[in-house]
Amino acid sequence: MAKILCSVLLLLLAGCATVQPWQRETLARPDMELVSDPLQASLDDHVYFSKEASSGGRSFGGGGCGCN
Amino acid sequence: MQLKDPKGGAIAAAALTLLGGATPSQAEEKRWLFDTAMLFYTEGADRVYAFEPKLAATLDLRNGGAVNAGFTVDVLTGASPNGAAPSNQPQTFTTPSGNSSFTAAPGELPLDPSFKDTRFAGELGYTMPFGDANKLNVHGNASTEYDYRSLGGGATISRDFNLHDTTVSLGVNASRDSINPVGGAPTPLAEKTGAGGGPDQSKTVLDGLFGVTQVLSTTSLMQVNYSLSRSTGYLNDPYKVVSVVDADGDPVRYLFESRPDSRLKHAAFVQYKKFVIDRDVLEVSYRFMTDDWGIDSHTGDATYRFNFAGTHYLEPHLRWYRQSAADFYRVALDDGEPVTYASGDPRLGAFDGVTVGLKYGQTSWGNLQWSTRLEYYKQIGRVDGLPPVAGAALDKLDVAPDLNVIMLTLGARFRY
Repeated sequence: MAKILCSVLLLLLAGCATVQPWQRETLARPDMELVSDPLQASLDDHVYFSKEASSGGRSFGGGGCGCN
Repeated sequence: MQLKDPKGGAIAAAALTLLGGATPSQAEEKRWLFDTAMLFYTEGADRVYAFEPKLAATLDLRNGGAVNAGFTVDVLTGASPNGAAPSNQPQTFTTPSGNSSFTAAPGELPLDPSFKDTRFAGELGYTMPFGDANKLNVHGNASTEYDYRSLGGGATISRDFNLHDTTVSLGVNASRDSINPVGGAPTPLAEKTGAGGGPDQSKTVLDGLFGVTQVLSTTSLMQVNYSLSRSTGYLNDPYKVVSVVDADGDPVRYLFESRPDSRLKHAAFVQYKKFVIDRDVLEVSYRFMTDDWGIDSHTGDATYRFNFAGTHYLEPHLRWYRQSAADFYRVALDDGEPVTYASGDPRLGAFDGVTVGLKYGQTSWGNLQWSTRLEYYKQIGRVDGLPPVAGAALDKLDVAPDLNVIMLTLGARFRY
């Protein structure tokens, strides 16, 4: 998995042109934020944490839950 | 019952700010952001119903930092699988308190109807810039429910490179949970004859996360994360049992479940976001998770936001999930079968999950933004973990039934 991650990272860094600060109008849009609705994301994480055996990835893996 | 709020959001916010996006509050001198959401969740007749309101507030500081606080209430009622396998006979169980009992009809998955819980959770965070390219976020959180308490905290540091096109983040988090089960914590693999009766228990969770956010073009960006999570201590569900059955699949007795006292999870996550046709937003993500309990999972997620009329948008959502079963997941055990670990918790079994949803929102309604989202989530069980002798008899029953969930979310946000 580490190899896959490193490969993806290298592709990322190699494959993109520099975007200047004055070219970031679109990237600064609220709907272009990586998590554009944090509370919705938090509710989703809670539901899937309670119903599936997986968690984490986007953020920390979680815990602190009886989750029956 | 809590999954910690997505501090990844803090990472993402830090990343985007570093990437050059001025926050609207700074532009308009409105430094407070209030965000609220309410989830209505139902698994249908006789299953879990939940109501979960959340409130969060963020104050942007003049030094470029921010303080945030959040509060969540989580109310749950209904019936939840107790881990026992279905049978051709009626099955009667005592509730965790040992004070009452319930009976599952022949062929039905046994559901414990005594499940009732109210959880309160709060969190605090502080983000501060230092140098011209770094940010530090520290956060703490606590939650309490009648049989479970959690206290945790952590920090994330991020730094940008390449004219702010690349942001690298590194975070750690730790939590300490205390578990005070109704009727006491049972001894693993002891026969269930009444309440568990044992002393209170605890567990510790340590998390680490390494992430890279990269601007790919003027209209696209990508994030790659690697995270690991180590849990140690009491990892059983004190209310779950596993059936011991005879050669015909009929129950002989029930044992309290037994899980290992440590678990190490690794997850890799990739997210891509693109502004398309100069109007809409496409977002796709994929996560692979694997752990030392033998569970591997794949999660794919996609949304497309139609910004169809100025301040209105429609956002269809599709999520696909697949997990393999834990090595010690068992539908039931043969009588006399030697085991060290065994759990019949369906969440550790093999299944697929599909979510479809639609969100509608308005980004400018006076000073308010609001949205509503309706989703349908279906779990489709895949049979795994049948006992060698009784497996053929049990396989005739629906030992991995589907689960159907409807979720409605309302959200509102305003700046002040």
